[in-house]
Amino acid sequence: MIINGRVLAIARKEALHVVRDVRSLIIALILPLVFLFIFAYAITLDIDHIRLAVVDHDKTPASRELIAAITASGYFDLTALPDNEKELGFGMDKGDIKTGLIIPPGFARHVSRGENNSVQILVDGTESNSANIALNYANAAVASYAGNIVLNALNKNGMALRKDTGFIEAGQMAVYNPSMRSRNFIIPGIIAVIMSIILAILTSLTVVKEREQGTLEQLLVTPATPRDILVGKMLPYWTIGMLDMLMIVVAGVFIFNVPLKGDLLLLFFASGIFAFCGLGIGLLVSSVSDNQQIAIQLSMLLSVLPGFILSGFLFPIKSMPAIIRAVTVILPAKYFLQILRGIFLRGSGWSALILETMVLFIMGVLLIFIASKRFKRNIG
Amino acid sequence: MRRILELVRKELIQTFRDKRMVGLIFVAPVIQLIMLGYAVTTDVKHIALGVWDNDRSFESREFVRKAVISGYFDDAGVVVNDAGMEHAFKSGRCDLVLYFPPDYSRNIKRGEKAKLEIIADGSDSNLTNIAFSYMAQIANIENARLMKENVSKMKAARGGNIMIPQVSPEPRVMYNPEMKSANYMIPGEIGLILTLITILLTSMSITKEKESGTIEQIIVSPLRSYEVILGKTIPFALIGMMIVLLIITGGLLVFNIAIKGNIFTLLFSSFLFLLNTLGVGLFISTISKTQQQAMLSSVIFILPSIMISGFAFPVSNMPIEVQWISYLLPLRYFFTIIRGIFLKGAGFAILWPEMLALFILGVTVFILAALRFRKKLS
Repeated sequence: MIINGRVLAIARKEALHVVRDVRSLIIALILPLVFLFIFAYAITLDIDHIRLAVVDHDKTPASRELIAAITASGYFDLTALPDNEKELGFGMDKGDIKTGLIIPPGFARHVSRGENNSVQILVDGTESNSANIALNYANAAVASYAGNIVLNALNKNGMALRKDTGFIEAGQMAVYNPSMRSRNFIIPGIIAVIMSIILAILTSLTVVKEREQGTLEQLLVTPATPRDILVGKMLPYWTIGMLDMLMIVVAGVFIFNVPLKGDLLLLFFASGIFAFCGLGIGLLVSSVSDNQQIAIQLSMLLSVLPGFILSGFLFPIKSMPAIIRAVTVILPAKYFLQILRGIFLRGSGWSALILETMVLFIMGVLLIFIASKRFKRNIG
Repeated sequence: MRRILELVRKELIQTFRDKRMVGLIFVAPVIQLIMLGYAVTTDVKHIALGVWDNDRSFESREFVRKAVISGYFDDAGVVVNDAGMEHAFKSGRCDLVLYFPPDYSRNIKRGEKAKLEIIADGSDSNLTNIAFSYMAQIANIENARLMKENVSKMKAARGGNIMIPQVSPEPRVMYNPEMKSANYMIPGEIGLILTLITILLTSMSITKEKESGTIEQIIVSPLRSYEVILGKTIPFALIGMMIVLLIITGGLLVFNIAIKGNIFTLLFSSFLFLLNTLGVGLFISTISKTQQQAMLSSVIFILPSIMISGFAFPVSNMPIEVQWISYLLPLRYFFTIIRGIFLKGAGFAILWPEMLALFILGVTVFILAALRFRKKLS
C-alpha cells in the first residue's frame, strides 16, 4: 500500500468531510467514554446486595440465627419478612425479591431434638447467572450454619473433636488480577468493542454515501485510481479509531486505575492492525450496499453483537457450543481481545502474543484486499 | 386517512423494494436469535484445571476427581510447581490450579483444618468468579461428607444413642428452572431488535428525504403534517410488530421457549414500546441533517440504553444513580414486561406500573417529537 499524492488528496477531502460534520465527529469520540463509564461504573459482574425475603414460620431464636447466618454472608440484603408463601411469591413475580428463604414451623424443635430439617431456598432464575451465584451463596451460608449446629450438638455431648467447622478450607487467589475487579478485565476489552463498532459503522457509510449523492462518479473521473480512493478514504477513519483507543487507554489507566503491565508499543501496533480489520469490514459493507440504510443495518449486524457477544468480551468463548466457537475463529475482535488482556493484565510481550498479532495482520490484509476487489468490480 | 394509507404504502414499497433490505430486516433477527441463544451462556464449563500436588495422597487425588466429575472442570493434565504455574497460565493451558500443601491428607486424617489453595489466572474475572464458586461448592460437599463420616464414627463409638441435627438447604429455582441463559436472552432480544431497527429506520428514512430533497415535495403536497408523521411511522411500527412475531416463533421453534403469559399482553406492550422508539427516531430525524448524523445520534442513544436497561446485566446490580437514569429509559420497563410475560406468566395485574410508564413516556416523547417535526416542516 503505497501512499502517494493522490491518496493524500483523497484523504484530505475525506478528513474535511469528517471535520466539517462536527456532531458526527464528537459522537465518534464521545462514544468510547460513554462506554467506558457504563462498563466501568454501571455494570459490575460482581454480585452482591441480593434482595432476600424470609418467610419465618418458626419465629424462634434458632430460626433467627439461621437468618443471621445468611445475612452475615454479606451477599444478601434482608428486604422483607412476608407472612406467607403467597406474599413471597407476589414479591418475586414483581421482581422486588430475588431470593426467598422459607423456614418451616417446628424448625427449632427439630434442631433441638437432633432431627433432620430442611429449609427451602427460592431463587428467581430469570437471569441465570445471578441466580446461580445467589444459589451458591445461600447454600454455602446454610451449610456453614448446619456445620455449627452439628458442632454444638457434639459439644453438648462432650465429644467435640475440634472447634472449627470445615475439614477442608479452600483459599482463593487470583494471579493476574488479584483484586478480582471486573473493571480490570472489562476496560481493556472495551477498546476492541468500540473500535469494531466505530470503524465499521463510519466507513460503511463513506462509499455508499458518495454513490447515493452521485459524487462517486466525480471522484472516478479524477486521476485517482480506485485503490487510491479506497486507501485515501481509510486514513481519516483509521486515525479516529486510534484516537478512540488512546482515549480509553488514558482514561482507563489514569481514571479507573487499570493496570497496564505490558508493552505499550505492542499495544499500539496491534491496535493499528486491528483498525485495518475494522476498516476492511466497513468498506466491504459499503461496497455491497445500495444505500446508507442497508449499509448501517449490515455493519451493525456485523459489528455490534459479534463485538459484544462472540469476541469473549463478556462471555467466555470456551463455554459456547462448538459451532459458535468455530464461528468465533474468523472474528478479528477475538484475537485483538486476547492481545489486549494479555498486555494489560498479564504483562505479556511480543513473544507470547506473536501468534494472535500475526492472525490479525493476515485478516486485515485479506479484508482490505477483498474490499478493494469488490469496490473495483462495483465501479467497473 | 386515505392519504395516510397511501404514504404508508409508499414507505413500505420504498423499504421493501430493496431485496437486501428485506433480507436484513428479517434475517438479522434470526441470526441474532441464534447467537444470543447459543453463545451467551453464563454457565461456564470446561474450566481447564491444573494440579500442583505437594501431598500426592489419596485425599488430594480424590478432591481433583470430585472436581472433574462435577462436570465443570476438565483435567488439563497439567502438573505444575511454583515455577511452571506462570507458564501454564500465560500459555492458556489452564485457568485454575489446585494447590495441595504437603500436610493436606495428614490434617484430614487427624480431623484438623486442611488447607488447599485455589489459584486462578484471574485475567477473566467473570470466569474466575464462577470457577471459585464451583470449587467452593465442591469443598462444601466434601466437608459435609467428611463431617457425616466422623459423626457416624463417633456415634458408633458412643453406642449410637445421640441424635445429631441436620439442616439441609432445599433449593428451588422459580421461573427458569433449568437456569438456561437463553430463557433470559431471547425475550430480551425483542427489545433489542425493536430498538435497533425502528429507531434507525425511522430516523434515517426521514433524513434521507432531507438529503435527497424529496422532503420538499412532501411539504408542497396537500398532506397535513400529522399525516406525514403517521405515514412515516406506521410502516416501521408494522415492521416492528412483524419482527416481534418472528422472534416469538423463532424462540419457540429453535429454543423451545414458550410464552407463559398472554401473547396479546405482549403485543400490546410491544405497541406501547414502539410509541417510544418511533418517537425517538422521529426526534432524532428533526435534529439531524444527514443520514450519518441520524445514524450516529441513534447509536449513541441506543447502545448505552441497552446496556443500562438490563439487557445482559440486571439493573438491580447497578449503582443507584445509574438506576435513576434507567427510569427514564423505555427499554428498562419493556425488558421487565417481556421477561415477566415470557418467564413468569405475569399479566396486567403485576405489570401495569411498567405499562403505564411506557405509555406515559411514549406519548410524551412522540408528541414532543411530532411538534418539533411539524415546526421543522413549516
